[in-house]
Amino acid sequence: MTTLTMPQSVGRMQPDLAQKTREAVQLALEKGFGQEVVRPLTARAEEKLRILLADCGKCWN
Amino acid sequence: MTGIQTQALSALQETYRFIDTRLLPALDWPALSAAVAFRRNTPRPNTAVFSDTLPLVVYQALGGELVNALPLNACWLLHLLAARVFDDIQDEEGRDHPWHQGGLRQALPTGIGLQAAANLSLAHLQCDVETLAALLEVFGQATAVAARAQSLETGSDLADGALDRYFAHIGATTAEVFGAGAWAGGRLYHNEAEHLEALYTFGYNFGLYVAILDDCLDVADVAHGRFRLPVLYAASLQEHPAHPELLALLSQPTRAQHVDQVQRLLSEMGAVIWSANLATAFRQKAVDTLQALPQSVQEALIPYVST
Repeated sequence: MTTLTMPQSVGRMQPDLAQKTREAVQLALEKGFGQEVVRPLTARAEEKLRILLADCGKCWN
Repeated sequence: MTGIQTQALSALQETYRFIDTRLLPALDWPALSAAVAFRRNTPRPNTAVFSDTLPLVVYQALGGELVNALPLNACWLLHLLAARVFDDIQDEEGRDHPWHQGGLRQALPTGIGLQAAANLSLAHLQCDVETLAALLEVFGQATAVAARAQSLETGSDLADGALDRYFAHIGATTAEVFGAGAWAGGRLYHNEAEHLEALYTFGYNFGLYVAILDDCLDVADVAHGRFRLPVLYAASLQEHPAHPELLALLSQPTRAQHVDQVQRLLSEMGAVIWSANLATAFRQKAVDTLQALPQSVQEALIPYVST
């Protein structure tokens, strides 16, 4: 009798999503989640973020 | 418009042309055509245009010809559109969208039809059977992971671990999908595991960037009891003078009527800017990941996430 075997994966190794979540949370904590930002952004950096948000809300097609 | 924007728009238009001429006529299903036309004709922000062309742009960055990856990008785009339809069904939103004109009886088969069209599109690819199997696997896995996460999302979540659950959710519903899209664009071109993994991580972090920016722009989700990163950050600032007012508003069953007040408090607490700043940190991680790839690929992809 022939036994069919299926490879576990034919392409990519499945990522460890739990590990990726931990890394993302870690970055959020490093950036000041849970605390008022100790080192506030410079006015120029904040302005750049406002422009980014405005641009993302804009439609150009 | 910058060169990279022009390139992304051109890639998007070619993808729609492929869908219109090679896929939709054979299906002869007006509701599918209406859904595709709606997405094509609805003005979209720049990050969304880039997202819609991710596998194709990656394939081109590696040196591939646009025409060879059109079926792959059409598959990608149709999967994203199907997800939008299923999101509308789950959230009971988008009543003015064409797939909702006949209610659930119309929306449900339209979503399934779009997924079927996405799979049909891959049949047009000129590639070997191993590549096709790998593409089917990566899209199948990503779709299943995202659908499972959608089924697990809980509303009004400010309990311990809410930040972990937020990142687990956007990781599964957006970042993993984007990782799969970038990986697929690379896999169609070659099968070099190390470079493909870098492309996956690039897409994953770009996906986090897009998801967080989206959450910065649409605070109205608060009305539906879905608390995104700006709300989670503001709610974590327990010493802030505005904290009690924010929590009082969020806990009200009538919070849908207070979205403007919540928006004002988030702004006052610096929550939207903090979240946008974190988004750019993930964008930087995406850029950093590209260092594992040849210089020409870096130069082609970095403007794609920096615009």
